[in-house]
Amino acid sequence: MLLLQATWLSHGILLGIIPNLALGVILFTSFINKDGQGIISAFLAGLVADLLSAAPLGYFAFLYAACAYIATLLSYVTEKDFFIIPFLMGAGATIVMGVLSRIVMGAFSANIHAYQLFSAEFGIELIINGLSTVILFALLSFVRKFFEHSPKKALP
Amino acid sequence: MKHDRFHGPARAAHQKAAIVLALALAILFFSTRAVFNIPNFFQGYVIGGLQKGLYAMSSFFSRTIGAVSELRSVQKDYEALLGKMQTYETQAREYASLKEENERLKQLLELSSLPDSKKIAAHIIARDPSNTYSSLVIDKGTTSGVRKYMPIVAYQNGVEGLVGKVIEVNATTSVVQPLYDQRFFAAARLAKTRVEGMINGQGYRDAPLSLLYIPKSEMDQLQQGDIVVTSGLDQTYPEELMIGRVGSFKLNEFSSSLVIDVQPAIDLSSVEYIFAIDVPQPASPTSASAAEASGGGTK
Repeated sequence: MLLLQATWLSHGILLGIIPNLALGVILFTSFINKDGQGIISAFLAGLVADLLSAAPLGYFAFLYAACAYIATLLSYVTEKDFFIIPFLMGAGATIVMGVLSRIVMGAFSANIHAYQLFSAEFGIELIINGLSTVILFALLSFVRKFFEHSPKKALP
Repeated sequence: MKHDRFHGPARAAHQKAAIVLALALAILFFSTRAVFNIPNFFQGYVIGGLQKGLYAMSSFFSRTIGAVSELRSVQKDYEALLGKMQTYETQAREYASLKEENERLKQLLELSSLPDSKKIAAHIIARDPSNTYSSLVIDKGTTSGVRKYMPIVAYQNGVEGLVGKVIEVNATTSVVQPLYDQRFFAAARLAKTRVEGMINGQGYRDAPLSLLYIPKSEMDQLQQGDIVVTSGLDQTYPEELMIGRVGSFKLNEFSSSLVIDVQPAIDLSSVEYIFAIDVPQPASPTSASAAEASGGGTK
């Protein structure tokens, strides 16, 4: 998904904003795996995103892992539906990433870029990520078994 | 059944989250202090190879579909171009004579001209996958002569404009920081009044650039559409390279400089080919004086 975002979707969908498809997949994986396997997947995906991006190593690893943790916690209090929950998760994860990027920028160095939380571009990205998460949740539901972590299957 | 927050799978999730987040913060701490370096091999060969492969696939499909309609228009263009050829031959002769006259005048005025810089053509094969960082990946690297901090230009609608600079170089790919990046700064000047300032990106491709440190006194002479060029004072970009045109400008009451928006000359959403300029480095004063002293001693 990250390579798709960097190449085929690099021009963005609306006003140059690229949908964060990797975030949608991470949220799905974290939501269906209640034991936290999605958090590890999010961390590794974040490292790959750091290598593809001009961001310092660890930046997206931290942001994606934090979003995955929140998605895992949400799985204990709600069930997935077709539109509302995935949309709120996608938009909410974007807001979480925006707030955390500000905190990281303040804590580390000026080399960190942060989301401009009150800009039109951030609002558009929020909506695009929400809608793309709805679509990804619907599509990935058909191949859910490939994303579920089941230790019992590994046993002989 | 309500899940207990501190037992069973929830506890495992909390533990994994704590470890992973701590690890991510530690990596971020080291990487922002330049202690931990990204393995260039993995980034240069593996990631660069995957990006090139995906770009090749997408360009194959788009070119195949476009080739059919292109053939029809090529025939029409060919006939029109034959007619234009005669006009251009006449203009080429006039250009040659004007160029010779220009060289003679420059010698008379003893102006130093920029030597012809070597330009390395490259494709943009990937862009930053996030919306917070802005970077472009091109398909040329050290094997093609690309160096770190080389300026990047592009041609669009008959204009040569600044695109950015190289910030990372691998064997076969390079990463370019575009001029709309938040961290992009370049010494600039207004072409008309020659007042110097600094150009800075706003982080979004569609947002205008900011021209900083232009004094308030220039407000009467400033007009929308004025050209902004590089001044060459930062010794990274050659001078007189077009950056863009003045859009809107305003004066903040308690500020000593104007707030000027600049529309980039090059629309980076539609650029595919760029050129890295191999700018020759100026000789240092100490080496020049040492050369003169040794030449004087032998006479």
